[in-house]
Amino acid sequence: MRAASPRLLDLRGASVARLNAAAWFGVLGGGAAWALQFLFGMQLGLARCESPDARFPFPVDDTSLAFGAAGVAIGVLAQVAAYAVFRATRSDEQAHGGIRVAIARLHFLAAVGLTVNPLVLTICAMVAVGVPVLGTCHQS
Amino acid sequence: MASTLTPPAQAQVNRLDRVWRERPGLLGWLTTTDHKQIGLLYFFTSLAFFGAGGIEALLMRTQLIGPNQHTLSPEAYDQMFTMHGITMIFLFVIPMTTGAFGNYLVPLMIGARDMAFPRMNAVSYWIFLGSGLFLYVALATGHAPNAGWFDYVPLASKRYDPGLNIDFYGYGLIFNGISSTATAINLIVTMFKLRAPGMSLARMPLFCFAFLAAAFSLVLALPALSLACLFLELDRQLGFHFYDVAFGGDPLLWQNLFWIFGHPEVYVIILPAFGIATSIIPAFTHRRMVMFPLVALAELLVAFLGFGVWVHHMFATGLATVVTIYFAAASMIIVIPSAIQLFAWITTILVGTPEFKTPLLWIVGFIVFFIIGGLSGVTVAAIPFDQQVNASYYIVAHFHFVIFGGAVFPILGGMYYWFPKLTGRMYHERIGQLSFWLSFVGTMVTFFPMHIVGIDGMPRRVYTYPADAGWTLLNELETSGAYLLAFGLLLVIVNLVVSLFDGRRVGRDPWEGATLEWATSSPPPPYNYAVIPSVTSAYPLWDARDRARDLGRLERGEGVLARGHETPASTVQDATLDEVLAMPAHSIWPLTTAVVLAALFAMLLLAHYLIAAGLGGLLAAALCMWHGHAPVPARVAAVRRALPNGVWGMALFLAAETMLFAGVISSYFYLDFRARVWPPPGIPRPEVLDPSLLTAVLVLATLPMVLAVRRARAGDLPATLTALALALVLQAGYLAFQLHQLVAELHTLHPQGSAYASAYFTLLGLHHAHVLLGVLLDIGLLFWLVRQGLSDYRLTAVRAIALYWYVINAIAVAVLLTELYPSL
Repeated sequence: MRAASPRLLDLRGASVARLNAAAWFGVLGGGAAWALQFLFGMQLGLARCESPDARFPFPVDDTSLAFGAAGVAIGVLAQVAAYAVFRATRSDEQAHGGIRVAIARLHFLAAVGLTVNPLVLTICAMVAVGVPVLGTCHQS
Repeated sequence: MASTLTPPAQAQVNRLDRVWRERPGLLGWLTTTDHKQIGLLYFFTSLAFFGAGGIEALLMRTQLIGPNQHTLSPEAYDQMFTMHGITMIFLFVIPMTTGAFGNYLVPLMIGARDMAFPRMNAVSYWIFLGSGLFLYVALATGHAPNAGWFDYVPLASKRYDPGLNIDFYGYGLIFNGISSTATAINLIVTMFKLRAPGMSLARMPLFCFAFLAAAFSLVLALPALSLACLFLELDRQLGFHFYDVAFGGDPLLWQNLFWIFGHPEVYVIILPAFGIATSIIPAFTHRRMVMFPLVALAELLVAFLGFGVWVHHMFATGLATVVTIYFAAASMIIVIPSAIQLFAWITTILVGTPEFKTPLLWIVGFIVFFIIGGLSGVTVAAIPFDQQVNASYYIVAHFHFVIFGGAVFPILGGMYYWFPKLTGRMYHERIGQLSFWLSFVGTMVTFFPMHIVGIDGMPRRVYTYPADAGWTLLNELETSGAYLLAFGLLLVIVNLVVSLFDGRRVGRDPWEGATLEWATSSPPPPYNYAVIPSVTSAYPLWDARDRARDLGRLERGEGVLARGHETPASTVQDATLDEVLAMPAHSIWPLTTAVVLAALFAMLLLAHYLIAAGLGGLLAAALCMWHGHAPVPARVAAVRRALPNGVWGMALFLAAETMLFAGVISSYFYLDFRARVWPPPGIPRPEVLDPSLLTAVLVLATLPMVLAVRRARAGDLPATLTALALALVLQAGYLAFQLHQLVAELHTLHPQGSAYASAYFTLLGLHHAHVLLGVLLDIGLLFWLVRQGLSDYRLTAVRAIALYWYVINAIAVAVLLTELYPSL
């Protein structure tokens, strides 16, 4: 990877290592945001609505919106990162050897990120909107 | 290949034949570490269990052919449907896919010569066999599990099920889970590290992506099941109260833990089947899979999202909407990656030139059934509909289309597809097609009417039904279909067995397949490839130039690696050659370890805890001896770029252990959320100072571990030993003081007194057990370092054990905060 041709790096405007970091953020960022929203939001919902005598009076609607907004923001950033890597690695014609393998892999990861993020963003948004609309602690 | 080789190439092959020669006879099978032999052992064992599960299904269907039948008593029926579920999931589909297909094919497909941990691979098989026999001893003695495969409490509690039936379930599944976890870790490290040079992640076969996703799901999901079973046995055998409402426990805790495992498990079952489909479709349509990156992604994404949908199995339990909505949203969205794969398969068939031979027929059948099962799955993702059909035959229909149609059909297709590779012979095509059509019609006739009787109100898990319910005709149809299906499946076995002796001989690649396994002879030699293949695309066997180049390399002896049991290891992302590993050969220790472990579980079942503890000591000794023989040092590249396999293996093991602790801590807070007062009245709040100081001591022991790793990397043995000994003193001191405190606390707080106390002692006890394991690892490491000095193998052990401590120490802080939470 270190033997990348200077011309290639100039073309991309970023080192392969930076593209690598951006690609992995693009792949994992949206998913991580959803995971955090899921874990914290669901736990707060459980504490608020499943405890007797309302021992934990959290404002579930507000926290749901806050977690949702944070999740969407991180997801959007991840999507932007994935798109940037996707564009930067569209062509590997000038690369050869190890650098070509790395660019192909980065392009592959970026495509993965571009597909994952909209899906998890949708989940984040559905939950963030759904909780206040459907009513706190209303039994399903 | 051998007949066309030049003399220099033949000389290389002869040398490999000598180096990799297997032990003959029974001893060879008992001590083998060869992934193909272990794959075959998995194949035949899980096939035997498939037969047993099938007989159980036929008995149930015979009982239900009409109202008020007496083929089975109610008690026997309970055991039959429970054992049928357990067998098909834990003893057939998972071992058949990850164990048989994964073991046999993954190393071949990535150009490796074995799995990353060959001895662990062997012990996985023997533990799987032991766990299967353990569960079937229960059936033979009339004590088979009888509360359904998901074993809901309170039905499964001691009060309502006092026999050993549920204990067989609890211990049997923990025992089985060890095997599945070890297999999954092995598959992941193999795919990460042993890919042939050039096979970057983007060029890994889709089959491997599917198995990678399934393996990650297993590693991360199984701890929840093991924990649920541990709580169950603590309740049943020691009188704890995790699930007992009267003492602050909660039966829904079982359901949550079970389905945290149970839904990812569905994808563990189905994903390898997806992988098989993505292998068969390109071979029989003569074109590449469309949307390769999206299909790879979809396989991983399904596994990931699968962890966020478990409550859709609990929509009828009355949880609040603010909780269920998280799961309903994820359940809706998870349809999309599944659909991506579905459209990719269909499009590839449509735009290719399909040859509808037997393997592709099974895949087409799978697609049809998966669509039916998927659509009924979408209907039950809608909460109101789910509440109507919950616990009815509609659900039985849904999951049989998904699991039988969606997983077993591809497995059968895969058996036909790779049969020539395993045997060097071709199956009988016409009988193959006949077996498919019989099974297809049989499946449809058996399971489709269950949707109708389910909507009509027929509950699942009843041993009979009234004559005036109007369900008789459809039940007769279902039972007829089951016998037709059984006949079709029997025909598959007959076809393959007869073809094994009488089938037409075929060459290495009768299908013009695209993946590497077709590059080697059929059946493959013990070393898989005479020369490690070079890879430049995701369909390496269609790259004629690469394969021609391999022959030249063989003649020149490049990439032959014949100094011992050698295989190349590569970097994780781009598969750049990193080192040449010397793999261990046959060993008796895996079988020995599994036998001791089986005895240990039997003693736990019978509540002989002292004998079980003695067997635990024996197990530790067996594991120590296992690692006594250091393999030939690896030939390391000038600068090693990737983590060694041992460190990867430990990291994945720790990922599983982290999930275990996440489960315990979540359970602690779940019980807290459900309680009116926490801790219950009369129980003092935990003391803060002593546990905090002790944890600080344990965390402090991280420093000598870091130092030990640094000195070991520098080759400084005395300093390494000193640092390890210092760490050991701190860790053992921590453990001694903690155990002393725990025993003292037992005078004032009884784990049998409340759910709080049960959770408190279990949390601390589990962490102390992990510290004890770490202390034993330290002692074993010091022993072998003193005896054998510092080798590359031992350096990896130092790094792996240090990693163990870093994680256990971090968990110690989380445990401390949880323990002190009522006082904070």
